[in-house]
Amino acid sequence: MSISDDSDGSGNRDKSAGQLVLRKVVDETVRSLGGPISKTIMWHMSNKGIFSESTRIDITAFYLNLKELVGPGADMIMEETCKQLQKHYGTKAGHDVVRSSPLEKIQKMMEIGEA
Amino acid sequence: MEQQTYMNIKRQRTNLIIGLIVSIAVVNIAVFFSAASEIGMMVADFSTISTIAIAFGLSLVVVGKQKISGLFGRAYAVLAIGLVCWLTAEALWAYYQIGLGIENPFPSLADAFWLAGYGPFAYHLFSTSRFFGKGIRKSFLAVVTLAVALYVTFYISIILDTFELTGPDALLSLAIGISYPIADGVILLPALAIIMNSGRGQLTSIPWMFVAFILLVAADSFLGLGAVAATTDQTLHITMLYNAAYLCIAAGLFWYNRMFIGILPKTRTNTT
Repeated sequence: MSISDDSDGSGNRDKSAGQLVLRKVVDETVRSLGGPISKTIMWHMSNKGIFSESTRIDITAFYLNLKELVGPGADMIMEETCKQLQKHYGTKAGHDVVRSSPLEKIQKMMEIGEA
Repeated sequence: MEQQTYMNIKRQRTNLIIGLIVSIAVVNIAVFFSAASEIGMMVADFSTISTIAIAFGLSLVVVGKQKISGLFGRAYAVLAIGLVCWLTAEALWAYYQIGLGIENPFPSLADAFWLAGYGPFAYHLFSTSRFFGKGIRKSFLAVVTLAVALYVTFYISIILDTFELTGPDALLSLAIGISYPIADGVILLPALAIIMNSGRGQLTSIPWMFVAFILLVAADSFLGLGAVAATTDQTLHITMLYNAAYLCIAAGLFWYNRMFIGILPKTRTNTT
């Protein structure tokens, strides 16, 4: 599966599906912190326009804004998101970027279309 | 609007710091000036019970609003359990001192509750340090672990050197006296590491709980040492440290309640 080969539009569909899964995983990870705190984070993100669309998310902007809000906690959320994504797909993505940050791993997964 | 919200967070943080400093000063000035009087012990005991009761009350508010799901839900529920253990211990200690007239009730049932409180506190600190401690380098953590180990070893050696109690409870006193620095070391590790990793995030720049537990460990160290060495005539600074620590926990709970589970969801309904 390649997102660059888009002659029949399947690449875009894959990309959208990947974005949807990523968004769901991010939501689940934030929710795992606890009800009210997740609502607070989501409220801040909505204010920044990060959660304006329910089916996709700009993961870099999400991370930067989260970092501004909860400091080191942002890295934990990203790490959990990355783990859940890898678990979800049973993917080998990220194996070649072991030393990368969770953000880079997620970006890589999204790029190569495994996510 | 967004800028206003963040300015508001900054202003509230400053207000809380000022409020905390004033509260600590007021309580400890009362303790200090009554120390030499007949009611000195009563004021000291009442101050520690009051300050930890405030913290426990706020923890109940947090648990009531947040429930016990998720990382923070569980961590704060367990913190409330630790606080009720220590509130019971403080009340028992005061009862022994004021009600029964025992100046140094050590060892006593109060120690059982104090030691029981360490488990929940350790759980709270270690579980929330998953959130606050991301990005800490392993080498830095190793240095902190070594420093804490040295501190605990040094502290235990002092206890062994100054151990003076005799009688049937002597061994129990020693065992309890040694248990405190070990338990303190366990909670000191995440507390120190997180404080060194702090200063980032609009909501998280001051890790109140971790600051509070550093103060608690300091107070506990002085108390344990004094109790084992049977030199409990100079406990003023210990009481003051406990008051500062309990009020700092209260400040942390107030901040968490206000910023993480309180004001923002209300603001959301008003502004969107």
